[in-house]
Amino acid sequence: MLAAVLSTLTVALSFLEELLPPLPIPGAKLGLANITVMYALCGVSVPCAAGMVIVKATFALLRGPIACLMSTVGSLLSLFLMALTKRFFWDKLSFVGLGVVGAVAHNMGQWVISYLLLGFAMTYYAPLLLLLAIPAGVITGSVLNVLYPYLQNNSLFRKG
Amino acid sequence: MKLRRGDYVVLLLAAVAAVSCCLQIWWPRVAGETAVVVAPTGEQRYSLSQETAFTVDGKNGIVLSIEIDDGRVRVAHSGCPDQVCVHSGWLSQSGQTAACVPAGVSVRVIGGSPKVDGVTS
Repeated sequence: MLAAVLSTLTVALSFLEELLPPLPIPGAKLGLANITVMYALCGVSVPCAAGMVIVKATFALLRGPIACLMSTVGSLLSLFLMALTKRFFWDKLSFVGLGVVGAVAHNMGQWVISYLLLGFAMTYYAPLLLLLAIPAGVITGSVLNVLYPYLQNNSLFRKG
Repeated sequence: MKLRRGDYVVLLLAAVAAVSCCLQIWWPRVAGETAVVVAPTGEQRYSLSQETAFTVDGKNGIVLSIEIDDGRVRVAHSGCPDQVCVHSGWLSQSGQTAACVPAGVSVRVIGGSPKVDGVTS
């Protein structure tokens, strides 16, 4: 039940992000959906978060197969590194640190795909997106830093 | 939740990594001489010292219009849905790139003599 609610929210957030006015930098995104993924990772379980990521990637098919591939690889790599970070450093971090790790990893995953599809060309554009991943991670992480205690107090979002 | 010390460590590491990537790839900036257009059908080079416009056929039936005008190049139109390449605008510096991932087409400016050795540029 909780996994379904969180998956729905993840998809809704990624669609909401499409509706926001586009940033002046082509390809740059805020990554709002990472808010629910990070919540699932820390408040529920890693498999739950992985399932949500796959649901989200499936919906990215609506934006085309390449968007779907980038979403899948980017968010799985992001989830993998966030899970590792959480496992070893969670006592020293808040969601801001976790969000930055996730945003940067997502970026790297997408960079690998664009490199495989396009060759060296994207390399010249990637650092700008990498730079922008940092404020994106800080914003999503700060949102969850504020929301997490409230969500944990809500029976709909609490595990079990 | 409050910020912890580890958050600052992550931020610092990420910032150092991102900034050094930026410097590594973009520094130094020099005016380019040649546009390299990579399409599924192959790679074509065009001198930037001309005024011309042409189209390139990408994958999925996407056609891109490319313009070269006095030392700069741009993707003027693209049949792709996201228009990332068009929004990249005019490119004139060596290393600048516009890429259309759905069409599998990229435009890159190369050439010009870098001020530093080939390793850092």
